[in-house]
Amino acid sequence: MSTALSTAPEKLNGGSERAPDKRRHVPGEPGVWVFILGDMTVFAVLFGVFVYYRGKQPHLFGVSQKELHRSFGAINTLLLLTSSLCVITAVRAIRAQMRNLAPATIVVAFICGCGFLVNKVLEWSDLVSHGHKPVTNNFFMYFFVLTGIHAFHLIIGMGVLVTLFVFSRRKTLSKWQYTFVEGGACFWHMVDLLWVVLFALLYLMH
Amino acid sequence: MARRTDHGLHAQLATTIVVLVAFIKVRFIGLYFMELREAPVALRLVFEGYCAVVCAVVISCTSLVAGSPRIDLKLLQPSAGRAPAPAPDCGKGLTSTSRLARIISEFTLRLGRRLADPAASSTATAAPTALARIDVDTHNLVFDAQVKPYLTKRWQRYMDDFGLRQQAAYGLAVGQHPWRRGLMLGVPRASLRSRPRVLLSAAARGAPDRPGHPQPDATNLLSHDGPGFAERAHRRDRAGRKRLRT
Repeated sequence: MSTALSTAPEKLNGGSERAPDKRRHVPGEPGVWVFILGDMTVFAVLFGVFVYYRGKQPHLFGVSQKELHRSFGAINTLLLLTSSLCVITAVRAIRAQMRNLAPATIVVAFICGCGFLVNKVLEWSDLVSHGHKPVTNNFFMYFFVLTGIHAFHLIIGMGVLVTLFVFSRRKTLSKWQYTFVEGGACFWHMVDLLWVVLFALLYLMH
Repeated sequence: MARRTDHGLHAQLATTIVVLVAFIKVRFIGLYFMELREAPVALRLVFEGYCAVVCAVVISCTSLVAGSPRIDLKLLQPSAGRAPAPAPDCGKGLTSTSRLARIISEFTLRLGRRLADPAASSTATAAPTALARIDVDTHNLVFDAQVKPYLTKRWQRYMDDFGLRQQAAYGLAVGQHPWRRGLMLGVPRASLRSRPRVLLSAAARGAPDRPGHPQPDATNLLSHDGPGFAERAHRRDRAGRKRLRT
């Protein structure tokens, strides 16, 4: 576990770079992927339930959907995609031993996550102030439940980003730490991925 | 009328495009951000399978949400070499985009069914699913006294003899026959078994009480009870009237 990870391109005796490793590797570790795919499956079931009940009450869901502000959803999508881009940049910067770039991009990703949460709180408060609560009807019940569960994942992801920030400032990473960086990044991308589907289902679907 | 979005796009097509684009983005996030392009093939296949299955299920569900009648693809695509299949009534007036939306949604729906139950889907898709024709009848409710002043004398006599056909009572068509009551609604001779007799006897009876009104040729009537039925019915009719007077 104490093996330090050297991510700089290794050189052969003759000075030329070693050929890149063609073996495929699992980002993070397999256990992380079991968790991520399981979580995605749970959300897939929730997506199916939402669409099913939308079919039961299409008019209600259509009218309620118009009460949402698409700009909130669009800005949130932009924030999460930007944060994902920052996280993958950070992971590649860590691999390339670019120690200054990685923490900065993770900070940007964290700020994007905070922006998402602030935006979400503003949206929720706006809806509640207009009398749209989870008990109002089925659409708002699913809206608050789905976005609430997603926001919970986002908060966990922000905790992961804090850990990534700490690791990214270290000069060397152990194998376990490097695996955590990759797995944590995948978790953050999963949060982004789920929001992309939620945005389409909740805000855009007719 | 098909629902449309604010941009004039068919709602079902818009939904299909939105969901497709969302899952294409999901796939790109997986391949490039999660770096599944360099992952083992099994993991990549699981992820791509997830995207495909969830996308298909969501689009299938949304096509059911739209409530559009299911249309057989064969009806939408006239094949070469034979006469084009008759387009169903519900498909008339469809634009090319809405047809495309229905084709996509139908395809994904079938795909989902095949994934769920391959054996059942092969038999289920064999049967035609289009609604070919809708027959609608409108029946007004009229009464003799209201209609009679507007009719010609000929039809007024017809009403005197046969009455006006009313709902669920052929027995009323023959006027007030004094025969025993049928089982249905207490209408005279309204039972199913006796309806043919009632109708034939009414035709044979004609209008005997009206001077100058010609008697119908009872021998030309088809009989359910063999030869001589019309004459026997006419005799029963006269006996019944006599019994009613007493």
